[in-house]
Amino acid sequence: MPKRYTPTWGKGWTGPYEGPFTLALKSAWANLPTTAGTSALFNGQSFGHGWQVQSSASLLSRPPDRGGEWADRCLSHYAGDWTFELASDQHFRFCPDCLRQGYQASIYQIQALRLCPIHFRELTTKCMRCGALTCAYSLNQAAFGKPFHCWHCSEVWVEGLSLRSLSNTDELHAECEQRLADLYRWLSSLQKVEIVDRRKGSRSGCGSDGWYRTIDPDCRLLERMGVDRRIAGFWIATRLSHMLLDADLFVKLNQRLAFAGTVVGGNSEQDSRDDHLASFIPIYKSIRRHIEKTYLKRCGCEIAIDMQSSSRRRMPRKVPHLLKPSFAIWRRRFELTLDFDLYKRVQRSWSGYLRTDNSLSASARRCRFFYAASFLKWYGNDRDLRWPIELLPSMVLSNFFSLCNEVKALMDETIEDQTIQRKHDALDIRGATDSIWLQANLHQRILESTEFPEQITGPYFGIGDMPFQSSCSQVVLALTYSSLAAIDLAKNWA
Amino acid sequence: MKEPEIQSYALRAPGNREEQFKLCALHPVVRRNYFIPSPPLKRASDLVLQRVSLRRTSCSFVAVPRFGKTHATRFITDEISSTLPDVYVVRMVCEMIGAQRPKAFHDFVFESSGGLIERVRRDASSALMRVVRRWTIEAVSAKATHIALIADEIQRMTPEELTYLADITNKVMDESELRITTVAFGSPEMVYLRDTLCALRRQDLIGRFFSGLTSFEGLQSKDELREVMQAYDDPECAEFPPGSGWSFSRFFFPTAYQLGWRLNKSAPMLWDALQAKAQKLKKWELGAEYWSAAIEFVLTNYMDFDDAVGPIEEQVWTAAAEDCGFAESLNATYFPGQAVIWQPRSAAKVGKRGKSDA
Repeated sequence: MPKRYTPTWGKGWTGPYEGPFTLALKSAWANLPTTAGTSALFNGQSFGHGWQVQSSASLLSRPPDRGGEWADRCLSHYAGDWTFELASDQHFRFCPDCLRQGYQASIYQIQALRLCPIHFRELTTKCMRCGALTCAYSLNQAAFGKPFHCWHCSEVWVEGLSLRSLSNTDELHAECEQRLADLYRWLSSLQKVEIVDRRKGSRSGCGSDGWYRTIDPDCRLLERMGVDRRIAGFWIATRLSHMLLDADLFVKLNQRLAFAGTVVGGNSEQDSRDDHLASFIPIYKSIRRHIEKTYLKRCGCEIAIDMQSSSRRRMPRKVPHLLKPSFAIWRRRFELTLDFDLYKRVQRSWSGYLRTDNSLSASARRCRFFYAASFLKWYGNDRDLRWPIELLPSMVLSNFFSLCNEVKALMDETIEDQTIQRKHDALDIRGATDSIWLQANLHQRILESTEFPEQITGPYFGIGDMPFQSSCSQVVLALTYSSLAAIDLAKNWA
Repeated sequence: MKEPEIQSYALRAPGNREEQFKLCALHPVVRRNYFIPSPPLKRASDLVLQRVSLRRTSCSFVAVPRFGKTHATRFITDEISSTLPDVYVVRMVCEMIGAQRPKAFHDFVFESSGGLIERVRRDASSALMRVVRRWTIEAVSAKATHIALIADEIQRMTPEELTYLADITNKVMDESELRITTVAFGSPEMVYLRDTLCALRRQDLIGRFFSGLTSFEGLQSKDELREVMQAYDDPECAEFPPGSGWSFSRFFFPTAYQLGWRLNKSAPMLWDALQAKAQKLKKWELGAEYWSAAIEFVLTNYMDFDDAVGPIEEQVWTAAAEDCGFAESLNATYFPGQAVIWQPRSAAKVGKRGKSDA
């Protein structure tokens, strides 16, 4: 009988639901192959036939046209198109106790999963010795050059990981079979939930531009508030496909971040909230008019920007004032009225300036960057002009939520006082236009905030025919400005 | 005859001469694809089992060519695996690769262990580690606490290659605290290799690979030959067709076998015929190649379904002794009466130096 040559592999090294990363790590540790050799295992080839995959090929999903020994162990085998909406391959996530026996389930890459379902230990992406972040969950030299070792300190990720512990896995695998089955079953059921692109009316693909942009504005909202979109995506997914799992295992969403919008079903919650809001309409209107009178008329409807250094470029010297779309949104949301013509005019005037559209040409991107820098400078953020403009909307929106929170608290306190009208009439909000909030770490501020008004947790944007997609940036920027004023207003009240 | 037909036919014992003739082509004796443990082999196996179970460093055998080294290594490998479950066995047939670089040797050892060689460049240390990892992983997976390395034809290795092999055993010890017993088989040239190592002052390698150097013997008496031939009569040792309950000797002479003929009864005749070839030598040994060839000669050449007495004539066994090649081997590959193992020339000096050092 001819001798059969096989890669080195230990008994008990393959566990139920084990992800491809640790399998590949073990293979690399045992066989010391090159990255190409390891990648061959995922592509149905034996060692040495060097089909070169990209060095950073993600292990969350397998190449669509390749089948390999471990390809079915990728998360995408269970979660399908939802894989990249729930899980990240930025860093390898592990449970120290599981990894001590060389085990990591592919679901550990799901960002919302906080605890190991087997050992109830917190999943981590850091070396247990030096604290350095682990390498990417992909075929990369940092991971496979020295398997199971930190790329930074060169020590093994967890103490106690040894050849014998890798093989002594009977109990662990039995536990995995028992405790992970439900979660994988849920993931498989999720595959039946189709990801629908509202704009195209068709199934959208996975990727950075995934469903959260199109299927539910709430998710985008959450993302802009600094919540990982994958965590938000997970909780959306639990609504789409019911999950019978211990909620303590997962990252909880702060109550103030809880979204009310649903992808499927009616909008009754929204209606009831609108009814509740109606009682506050006069107050909100009063606030808005006060701001409008005391600030907008003073500053004019346009913002002058120094564009001298870019004289060769065709750049406008003035841009529309942010407060105009801000007030449009304010009215839409808090006064339940919307001057839609005004809104559309505002949108047109802002069009193109702050678009976060990937289809922009390189020169257009440069222009936009320059414009963004000038914009921030004008608003007093001259300390650091390197901010990416994409960061601004999330900060702005965070600030806006803070405003709403504080205004809500104020309303609760003073609603019975009947003196609110007099109080806010007496305010001087001119100083509120300072851009100190743009310089501050607003992101942190919203995270520290503990409450969020119930009546504004619903979907703000993308309702009805509002062209949310193209106007989000300027709308959010506008909201910032109104936020600045109103927060100051609320402080003075307090 | 078509292959499926043969296979279905082979499930039952032949009923007549024609069937016997057809099945003969598949017989292990005709194909020389069988194994019968001889008394010297059993003795060697017992010695190896003892040394491995005591976790000794090495156990070496010097065997004259055609005495059955390769079969011995296979048999011993199986014996260790079945008798000592906590020992992981690696069998390696050494080749004259003359590896000047350790990588080539490590790759050879890795491949000998069943490892898959990928066609990429790698440095020597990773090639070494790959062997070490394979051995340790296989051993730990088998819940073994010790490794037995069965090295056949060890005389083909150079001192450099033995050094590389020593590196592997050291590394295995470092990695997994598994000790290795090297069971080396080689032709008399391995004594020259030991001498060379002695001249090179590589006592570390001698101690590691050539301690307990023993001669792997052939059959030394009629009784031992009878014991071997008895195995041909025993269906538990040698059966064909499988499951038929027919021994090898019965297959070739079924009628005679039923009438009481047994192959082992011819052992004195074969021994005497071989003795005649060895002329006046008082002490000589019979290698596995020769006794098996002589027996196969008789069984296949004189096969007769209806023969009632079997091959009992003296001239039959004389012809077998003539044909088996024993006579040609004398003073060519086998020198009767000459010690296979001798003390190295500098052994005395080394011994004195060792004592004085101590």
